[in-house]
Amino acid sequence: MPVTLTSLDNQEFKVDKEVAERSILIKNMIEDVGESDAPIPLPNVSAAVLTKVIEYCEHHRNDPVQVQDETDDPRKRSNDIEEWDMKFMQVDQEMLFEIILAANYLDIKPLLDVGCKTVANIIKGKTPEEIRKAFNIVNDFTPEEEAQIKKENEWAEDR
Amino acid sequence: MIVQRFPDNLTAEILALIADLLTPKNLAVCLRVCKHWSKVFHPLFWRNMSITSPTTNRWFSNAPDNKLIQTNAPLVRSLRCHFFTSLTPFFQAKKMTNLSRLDLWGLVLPNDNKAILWVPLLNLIARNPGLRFLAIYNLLGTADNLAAKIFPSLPNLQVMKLHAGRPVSAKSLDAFLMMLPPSVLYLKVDASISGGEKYVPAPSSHGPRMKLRRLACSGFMFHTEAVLNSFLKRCPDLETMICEGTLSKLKMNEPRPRLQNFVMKDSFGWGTDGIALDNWIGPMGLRSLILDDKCTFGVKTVETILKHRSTLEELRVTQVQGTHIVSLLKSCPRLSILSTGSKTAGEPTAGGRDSLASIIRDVLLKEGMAEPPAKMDYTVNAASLIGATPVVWPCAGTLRTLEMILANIPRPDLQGVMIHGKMLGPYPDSLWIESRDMQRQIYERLGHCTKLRKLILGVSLLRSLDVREANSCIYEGLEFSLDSGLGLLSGLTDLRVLDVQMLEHKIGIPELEWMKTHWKKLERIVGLEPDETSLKWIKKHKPAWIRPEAKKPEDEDYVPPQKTGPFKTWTLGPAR
Repeated sequence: MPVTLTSLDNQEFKVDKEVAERSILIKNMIEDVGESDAPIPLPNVSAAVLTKVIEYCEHHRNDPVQVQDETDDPRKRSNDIEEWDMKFMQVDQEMLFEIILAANYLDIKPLLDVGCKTVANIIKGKTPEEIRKAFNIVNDFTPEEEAQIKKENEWAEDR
Repeated sequence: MIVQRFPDNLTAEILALIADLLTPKNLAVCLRVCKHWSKVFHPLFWRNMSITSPTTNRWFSNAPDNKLIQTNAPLVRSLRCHFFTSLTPFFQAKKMTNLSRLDLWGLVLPNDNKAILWVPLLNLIARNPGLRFLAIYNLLGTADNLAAKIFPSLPNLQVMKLHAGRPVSAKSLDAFLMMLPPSVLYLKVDASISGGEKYVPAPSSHGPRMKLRRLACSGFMFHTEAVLNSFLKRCPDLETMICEGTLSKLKMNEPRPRLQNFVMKDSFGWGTDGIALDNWIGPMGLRSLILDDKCTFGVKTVETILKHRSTLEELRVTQVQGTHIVSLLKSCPRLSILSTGSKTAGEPTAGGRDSLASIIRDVLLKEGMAEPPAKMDYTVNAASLIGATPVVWPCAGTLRTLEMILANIPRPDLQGVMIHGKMLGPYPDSLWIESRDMQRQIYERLGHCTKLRKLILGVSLLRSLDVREANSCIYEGLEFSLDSGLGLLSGLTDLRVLDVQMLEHKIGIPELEWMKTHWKKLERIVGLEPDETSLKWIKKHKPAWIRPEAKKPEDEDYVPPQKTGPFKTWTLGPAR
């Protein structure tokens, strides 16, 4: 049975229940309300972002549900991203962060993970100057200030 | 309206998730980007302190400045360090009271309670009752001594990992388990245990009831069954048990009420009596079973599995006869992963010769204490599959991974195939109708499994079975041609991997076009050997799911892949 989702800008999206329920927020809403034709309003998500999120959920519709396990070691998670997900995340920065926020709001853990990994991979292995370039940031440190911070944290350089 | 930019556009929680994926070095760079980033990333930088570099010896000099440690200590949530760091101000930072995780390497424990190495560690732990995760690698001291000192201060511990650098006595292990905080949910012990044969463990009634849900044991654990069994009596909530190493005599006499998942690796000879497993699995039923090729997988084991067919979701095993695979397919309604002979069941161990279990097996074989493994037929006979199973398997709606060798389809188009060095065929042309009819019936069955992601009918992942020895064999499997009924698999829209390695198949251009149209999510075809015309098609369309075979390296430049040593469970390194 299809479910109707309404975006921030009042666009309606019809998706399979199975796909919509990749979002734990929506899943809980459907469970609370019961069978109903009423559209589900998602006032925090724009149509453009919702389109992307639905695309992700469609692709991963049959994924096994991730069980939240408190014994998991977050740092053991690899930064590897599946090929499809990698391509999916090739969007401009604004969209990337919008997707992360939407995944967080809609409670789609695997999408949030992929988003965080994508951001982490942008930062990884870069120099401060490269990061400034990547995020369009102006350096407001004096050379002395920057040197001071560098010195303080030099011990972390080989880690 | 001001458009917020990274990192202001994300919440503190999301930033922490990102920070957990970065190394201290990455985060140190973020501090230097600009004043604003410096402010935002400062607590993230201090959140995960890693004051050890396992590859270098610079653990002592490479630490933050003392003053910085004192100021920022309350920000630290996770500390990973070498034990000798205890001599640095790090352990003495009085304000470090928010630790939830501590990883220690090279813990040298003196027996003298007042020893200078002890006190800072004990103080640190006493200041952090919120500690939930404690991992100790390379413990050089007795486990019970450690437990007596630290466990009373850890009422909220949930994860405990212990890797012993020296053999631990069974008595010490028993005392350690007795003192383990009842709050622990996951315990991992990696140790070699000595002196177990004579030791009688303390009665389980002497210890508290544990909340433990998951237990992993690895190492050289001879004669520790009594200790473990006594401990397990206090763990009625146990759901998952993972054993790696020699636990061949693990007796499983009493049911564990909630046990559902069982993993046994590198334990040669375990499972000769499948009843043991049956005794252990509680009323919740078996959900997941992973056994590697060191476990003997007998009829009894299969009977046990079949008894739990209503709950079984994941089965990764080697050494299952084809007939048993057929039984499983026709009777397990929740089966999601059926993987026979996969690499997850048994890590590749360089021909099975190098693993610890193999060495032990060889010794036992010499002494006449073990049976040589029997030759078995691991292939699924196509005729029995269609004869014995309904068109819609009970697991058709749940099956995501199917890995088996499906063979014995008459293929008059072939000149004959070698199986175990024996020539089969060539088949007479009169078998065409029978062949195509058989294939159609198989495609029909597979076609109903619409959630399949991995369909592995080739043998590329079979590493430990005797098919490796007969590596010249090619299996007469499905043709995967449109003529033979490939079109019946159009419902497999979720398919990611198709493995036809060592199968006789006839995938040509029409088939490749068909796959491109119908299997939109396809990521990989393994074992495809395209002829010249198909190659042209592949070059033209460049589908991501066919990668050109990597060139074999020239001999002189060829560096063999690193082997996994026989004692890999002994040298558990710090995971980064």
